[in-house]
Amino acid sequence: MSQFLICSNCDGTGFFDKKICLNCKGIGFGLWHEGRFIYWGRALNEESILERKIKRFAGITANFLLGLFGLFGIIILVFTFWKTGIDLEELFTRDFSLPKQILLIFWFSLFFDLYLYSRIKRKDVGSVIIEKPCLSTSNIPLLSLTEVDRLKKKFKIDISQNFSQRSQQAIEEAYILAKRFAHLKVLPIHLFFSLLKIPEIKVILARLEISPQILKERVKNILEKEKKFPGVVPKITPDLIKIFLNSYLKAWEGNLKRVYAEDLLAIIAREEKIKEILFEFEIDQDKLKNIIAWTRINRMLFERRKEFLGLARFRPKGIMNRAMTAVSTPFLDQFSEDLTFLAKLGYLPLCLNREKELEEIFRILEGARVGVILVGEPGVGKNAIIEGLAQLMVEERVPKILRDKRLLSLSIARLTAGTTSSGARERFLRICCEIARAKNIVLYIPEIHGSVGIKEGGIDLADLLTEEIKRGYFPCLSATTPQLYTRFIESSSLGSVLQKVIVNEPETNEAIQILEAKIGNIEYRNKVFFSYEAIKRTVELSKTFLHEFYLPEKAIEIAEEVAHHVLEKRGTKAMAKGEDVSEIISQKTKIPLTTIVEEEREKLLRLEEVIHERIIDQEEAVKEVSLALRRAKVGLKSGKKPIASFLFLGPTGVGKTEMAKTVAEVFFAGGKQMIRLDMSEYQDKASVYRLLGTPSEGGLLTEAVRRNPYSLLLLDEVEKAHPDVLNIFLAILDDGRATDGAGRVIDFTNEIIIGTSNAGSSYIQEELRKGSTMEQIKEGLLQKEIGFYFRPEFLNRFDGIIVFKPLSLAEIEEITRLLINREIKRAEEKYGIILEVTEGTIKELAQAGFDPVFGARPLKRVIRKRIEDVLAYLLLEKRIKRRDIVIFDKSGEVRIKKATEL
Amino acid sequence: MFSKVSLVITKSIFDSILDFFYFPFWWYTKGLKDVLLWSFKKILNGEKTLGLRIWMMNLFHPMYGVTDWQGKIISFFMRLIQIFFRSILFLIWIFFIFLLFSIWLVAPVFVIYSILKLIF
Repeated sequence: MSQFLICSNCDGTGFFDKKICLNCKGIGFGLWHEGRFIYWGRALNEESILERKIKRFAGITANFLLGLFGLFGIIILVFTFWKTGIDLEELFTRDFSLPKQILLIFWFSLFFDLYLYSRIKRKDVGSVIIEKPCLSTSNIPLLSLTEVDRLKKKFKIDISQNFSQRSQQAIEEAYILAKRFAHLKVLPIHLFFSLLKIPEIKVILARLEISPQILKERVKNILEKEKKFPGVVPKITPDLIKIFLNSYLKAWEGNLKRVYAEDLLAIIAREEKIKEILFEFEIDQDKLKNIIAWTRINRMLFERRKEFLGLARFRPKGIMNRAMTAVSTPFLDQFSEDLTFLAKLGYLPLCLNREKELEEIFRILEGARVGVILVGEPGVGKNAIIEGLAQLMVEERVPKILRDKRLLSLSIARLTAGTTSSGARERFLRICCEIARAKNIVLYIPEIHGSVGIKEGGIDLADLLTEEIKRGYFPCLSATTPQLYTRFIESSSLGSVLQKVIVNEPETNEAIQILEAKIGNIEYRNKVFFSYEAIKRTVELSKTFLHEFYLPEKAIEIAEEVAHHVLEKRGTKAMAKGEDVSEIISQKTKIPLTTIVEEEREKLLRLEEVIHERIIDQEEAVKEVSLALRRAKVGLKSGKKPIASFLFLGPTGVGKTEMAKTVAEVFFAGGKQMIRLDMSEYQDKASVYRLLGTPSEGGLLTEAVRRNPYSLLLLDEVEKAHPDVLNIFLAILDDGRATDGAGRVIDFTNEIIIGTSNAGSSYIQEELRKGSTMEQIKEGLLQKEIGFYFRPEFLNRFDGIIVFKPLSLAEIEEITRLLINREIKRAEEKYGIILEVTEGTIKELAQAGFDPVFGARPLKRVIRKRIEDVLAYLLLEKRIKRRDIVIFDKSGEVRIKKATEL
Repeated sequence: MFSKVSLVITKSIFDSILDFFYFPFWWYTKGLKDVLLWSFKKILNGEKTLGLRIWMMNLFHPMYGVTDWQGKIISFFMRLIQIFFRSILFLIWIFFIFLLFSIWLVAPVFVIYSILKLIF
């Protein structure tokens, strides 16, 4: 039970009438927490701060002088010995011939050495370590501060002793700051300002890519705006003490030895004003939590490593256990790796956030079973758990069944290499024999599924393994992936003896913290630093875009690559930033992830114009598509759906496919990222397997998207596909994912999906003739016409259903102009020939290419015939050269204007 | 401000004098307790390093997994020899720690005695 207690007499300030409050003995404010009273017992005023400063200075000076004198005494003695050549023995005899003064100096210096030692030692004891309350808790809760006297000393904790030197200095600095600004109270913002000077906080800011100077300026401005009371002595309010108490509790919960500056920061960041400042610098609570965890993790890893090395000393180096009852296992050693030995030498990294899984393993091993199987995707940390276990075994912090034993990792691959299945079985039996004799072996078999199916008529290696595990003479740990577990282990005999422990992929925040623990090593090797944004983006982007691998391994690998990339690009001591991570992942996935560049931004803003360079009219379609693309590009789209999905309806030749191509070109820069499926090829039920694939063969759709996850998927003539094929797209459009024949989840969240269909085109034409508006036509189409082809749930899943209207002659003329312009550009670029097409010719071409049923489709044919074919003849007959002008006039007349000779 | 500083300095000097006189008292109370605990921990660590308790507990367990009667006899005597020598090492270790502890006990007295002897 926790309860804050405030003295009603002094309102929590500890002072009444400028004297120490007698009611609460100057405590003022405190917390009753789990049977103990926690309070801040250090005075915070000008005198006490000055006193502490002087004492600190005097202490350091005194220690230095004492040390110097101590050294002087010894030096002078040694010097005298050397000068006079006296034996050391004479020092302890009565009639020594050394000058009395020298000896006096020596003994005095020795005395001061002892005093100096006691000073250092006492200071050490003074900085109390935070202890978890265990035995000394009071059963009777403290209800009021007037009763504080009756509480035994051991139930009272003065937390001011537990703050680190630097955090104490920050607190004192906050007081001085409040006084300098003539503020009435010491506020959290004062503390925040003083914290910014602390080296640990500076490191945090550097990792966050924030300049402490700018942040300080901003805080200073806020401090300037506070009301000033010249000459006033700032008050320490209960709110401030509450921050100290909460920081203490936070450190306590985190098993820390002191309250460090970052713990104070974590608490004051909850204050409204500070939250606002941090928010302006793009620091939210999640970010702050993870970055503070980073500092803590480093501190913890350092402490743990020290502790580990201390305990590892007691473990024997060789294969023998401490009782010397073990037997060497030369045969087993050939096929395995001694993990406890590697751990003792400090070769294995410390493992983090795996307490839950380790506890589960211990529980199983202490219970009836001796077989454990870790089931998790590759890269989620199964081996890290086993390595963590090896370290715990070295420290002897494990259940009795694992104590004083060796953990060996047996490789099935090595066991079966270069031999027949019966040979492998024989080897295994020999290994088992050695294990049984040695009695100090714990076996770990990674990839245990490899043992299933190794047989030639006789029994399977897995059955043999099952039998040996069942006999229970050695604890056996193993690992596999969920798919292989279902396929091989669950149904085999092994499934009955191995208890399953599921190892899940860590959540984003957990993975960030794991990467934070690993990053120190990567930074050290590559001599670069990582900003928090880089760490965060590594985890988030690899989670979003690298679906075939798992956290934390994929993030660690990306971080390695990023570090190397930054080292090459910017040299040592450079900082890896979020953009560097985006660059690497972009290279891997071919997805542009770097922030939108200026040119692209401009293009996005005038997207309608850009599309209209290729599409004539179709205003509604262009507008709707542009809006959706803009939303997607700035990242406003929902994370679990494709970027955008449209169904284009309309008669043939009105620009549906052209629109899709334009979108691909604008959005994916280049238009090469387009997957086009002609749905008329998938008219039977079996087509589902062609699209999704089978366990042995990849699907056409899934493979294409897997290889090119950031692209436009164009489904032409979608109405012709089999209804079961359309059902696949229900899940894709809704969740942005599909499972292929091999069981892999394929991500569609970076796809733009466009379906085109000319279902109901006769209806559109008819309605247009009747003079209906596009709105009416669309309604009619959805309600009546296309219901025959598509089910409502399919239609509902598209972001937009866009109806393309049939083209009129005027629009065909526009399109002709567009196509002719392309021809002109091509002829100039390729042959250096200038084409001129007269207005009359354009009109003629449009007339010839116009077909109310086929839209603009015949137009291309006409242009090919009248322009391209003619040009081909002229070129082949060598009648035209570079810089010549070819004029296409009415009625198919072609004139050539020869270029002037140079 | 000046008076404040001088007051604080006076107080600090007074505290330092008190601290100096507190030093022998600390040496034979809290300091002594710490050294005692340290010695005890070192002795325990020494035992852990030598594995004396484990050797004793496994006196009748055959070494190196040799479980025939010859092996059992050899191993019993081997363990006895091991225990004997390890005990000697352990005793030396205890003596060494005790020596350090004794130095702690007599150091200030001896130093003060030597100074007084020289002066008078």
